[in-house]
Amino acid sequence: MISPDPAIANALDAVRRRLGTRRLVAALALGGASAAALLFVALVFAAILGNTALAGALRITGVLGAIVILAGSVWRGSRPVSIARAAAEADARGDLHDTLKSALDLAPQAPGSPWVEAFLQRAATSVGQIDVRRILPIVVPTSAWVAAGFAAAVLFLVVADPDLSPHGGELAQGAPSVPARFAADTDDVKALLEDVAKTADAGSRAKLEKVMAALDRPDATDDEKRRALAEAKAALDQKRLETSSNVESLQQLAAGLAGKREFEAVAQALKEGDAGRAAEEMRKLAGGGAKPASDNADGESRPEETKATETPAPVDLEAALQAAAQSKDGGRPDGETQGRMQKAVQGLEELAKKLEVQARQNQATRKLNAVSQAMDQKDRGLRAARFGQQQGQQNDGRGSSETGNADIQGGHMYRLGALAREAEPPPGQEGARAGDSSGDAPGDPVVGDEVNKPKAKFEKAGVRGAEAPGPDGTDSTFYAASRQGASKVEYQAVRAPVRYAAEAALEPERIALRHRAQVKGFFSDKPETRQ
Amino acid sequence: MTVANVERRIEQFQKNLQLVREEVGRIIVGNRDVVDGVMTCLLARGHVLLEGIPGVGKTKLVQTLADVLHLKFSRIQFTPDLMPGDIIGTSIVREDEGGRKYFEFQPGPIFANMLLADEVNRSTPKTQSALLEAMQENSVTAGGTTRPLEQPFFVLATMNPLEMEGTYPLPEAQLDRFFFKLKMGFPAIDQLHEVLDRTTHAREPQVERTLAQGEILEMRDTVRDVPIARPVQDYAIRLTLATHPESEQAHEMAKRYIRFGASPRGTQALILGAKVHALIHERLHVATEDVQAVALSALRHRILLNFEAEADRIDADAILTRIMASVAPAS
Repeated sequence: MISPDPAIANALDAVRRRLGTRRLVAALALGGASAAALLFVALVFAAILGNTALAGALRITGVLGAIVILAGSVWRGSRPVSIARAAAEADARGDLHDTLKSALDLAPQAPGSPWVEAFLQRAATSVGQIDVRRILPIVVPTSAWVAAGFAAAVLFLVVADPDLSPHGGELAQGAPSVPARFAADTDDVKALLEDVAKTADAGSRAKLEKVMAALDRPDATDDEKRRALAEAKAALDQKRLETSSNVESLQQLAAGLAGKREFEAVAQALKEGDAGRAAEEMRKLAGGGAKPASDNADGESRPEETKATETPAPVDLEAALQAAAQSKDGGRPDGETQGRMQKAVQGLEELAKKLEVQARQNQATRKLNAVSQAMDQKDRGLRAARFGQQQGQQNDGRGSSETGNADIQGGHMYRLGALAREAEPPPGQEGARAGDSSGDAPGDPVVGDEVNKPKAKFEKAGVRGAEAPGPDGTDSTFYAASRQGASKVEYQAVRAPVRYAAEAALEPERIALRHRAQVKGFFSDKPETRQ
Repeated sequence: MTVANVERRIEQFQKNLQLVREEVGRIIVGNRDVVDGVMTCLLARGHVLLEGIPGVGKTKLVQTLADVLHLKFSRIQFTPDLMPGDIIGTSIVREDEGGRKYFEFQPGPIFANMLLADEVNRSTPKTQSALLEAMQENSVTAGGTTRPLEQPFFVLATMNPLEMEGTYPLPEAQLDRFFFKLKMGFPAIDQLHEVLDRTTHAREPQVERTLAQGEILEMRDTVRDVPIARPVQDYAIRLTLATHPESEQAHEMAKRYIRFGASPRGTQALILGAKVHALIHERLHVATEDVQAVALSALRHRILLNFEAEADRIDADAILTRIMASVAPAS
């Protein structure tokens, strides 16, 4: 169907080209939007799945799908526009009243019909006046903006977190990635755990070794590693619970030596929590007669009865120190004083070793926290808000509800310090809306007129199965927070809400419905004499 | 015929049409669409049914048009006792000079160029049917003899929608023979002012006869020569088929409210009316919008609504408007 009039044919060709361009732009925009959306969804889901094979497959599928969609869009947009379609579009947009459509259809009849010839001449004149660019402007379709939005989102995701990129490792060579930091921290944790395991009991050691094995396993999933870390943390917490009274006992020992001028340096060292220095000071007081416990360990100067056992019997340090102080004050013979001071030195050295172990445990705990945090950061399923909460809670200064100890900025604060800071009950006991990283949130405080907040008490407790004092009199108890406390909550009787009907009945005269008749009667039946 | 001749004929067509418009406009205020519709029927060799409340100028329009067109005009006031012979004519017995008696046909008022059938629905169907042959075949059969009617033959029937008491609805066959059914609405305020100014003074305006009989016939031929493209014709067919409830292309409204759709005569009216509309708008070809412009007038009396439509108070115009909106234009 070719128009005999060159003007009409040229116009139709111009319209066809223009329509082809518009179709290509529209197809590319739509395809781009679809491809970008597909890529975006694939990357997000891949990120949620983490470093799994499925995530990798999802990324590749997303990229391939986007390429296929774009290719399809190019093919679809580059198809030629039919001349009939061009005529219809030009008629509709150029307000030509079906001129081109009719011209195409009637052109074959032109040679024998002067009417058709006349019409074609008029059609050529009309078509010559149309501006193809004006009637068929190339506009950026809405889908193109959608495509740009998705593309920007994908770009942002890739730039903000290179791990999301299909080739994430190549893009982020400048800074260590989360997995790299995680691996380094894991190595540190393993070293620390090994160190702690050497001094731990059999049960704890077994747990820690299991954790280390899980961390070492190359095929361990993130969940398995996370569980192993949680177990290690629980074991360390238990150990810290058991040894939490060590630092506390230093303060008690220092208090016991208060007022004794000769033991002032020892007391000061104990107050500062330095048991080693306290032992050194005590050794000086003893005049060098007392030897370090390590020297005694060779067996030369040890009494015969202690040689039989591998580990020396634990010393009641408080009693030893008191005895040493009394003997020094009482002017007893040097031999006895020396013996008692020797015992005190020995006790202090044991305590120093315990504190050293405890320090390593604390270090391991902090490292474990860091590794757990890295794991959570790696886990895209963890929301940013939760991550922020968790990060903030690492050192929020709140005391543990069980031990009273608290992780604070720069280290770990023990129960005594926590108590000193506790001007008011810790917020954790009162309830907070923030919640913790696991999503659990304590309830809101009880609403009432008078609330006596629960007072946490610390009471002596013992390790399960070893609550009783040892045969040598050593105390195996420690202080633990008691969950029981005086708590008094008096609820105020809640008043029933005023019924709407009753309230409405009072408005606007403030006279209840049941009284209105009486009031009205009072005024209407009022005798004249009373007016 | 050459292209120049075509252009000259079109120019003459539009000039004549403009003259008629101007002359009619001296008497009839507003109602330009109705005047164009009546002219369309005249030029497309059709007949027109005018519907409107009393006093809006239906009869005046027809009288004015007859005056302007310089055609033989007759008027029949349809009443219930009107007989077919009163319209067609009757054979009467005559005596020649020799005393022999013979029948002589006395032509009725139908033998005119322009027939005003006033209040056509007030006569019985039998009388109404007397118009059937004349409207379709342009001839009258009486006393066993068929007599052709002079061209142009143009019936303008008026119908009052309110006076249903004592009236007879027009049979479908006769309704279908009307090319257009036009509705005359109540004039607007300014138009009413103009009507009063023209008709309540001592001297009413007069019209001049502008078109001769031959010129009208030439304009009729011009209309038939206007070319129409197949896609546009296809659109008119699809539009007609969409009114048929049993058709595959039937619209939902048609399936629900129409008992019988428009006839092929309706499609002819669509095309011919569109051709006149195209010429009125100075086009040499028929466009989709020409078909749409005449669709209501051409089809509204050709579709038979069912009871549900009456119950839902849906009229033919509403259904046709919905159908036109749904049928895809020519492509």
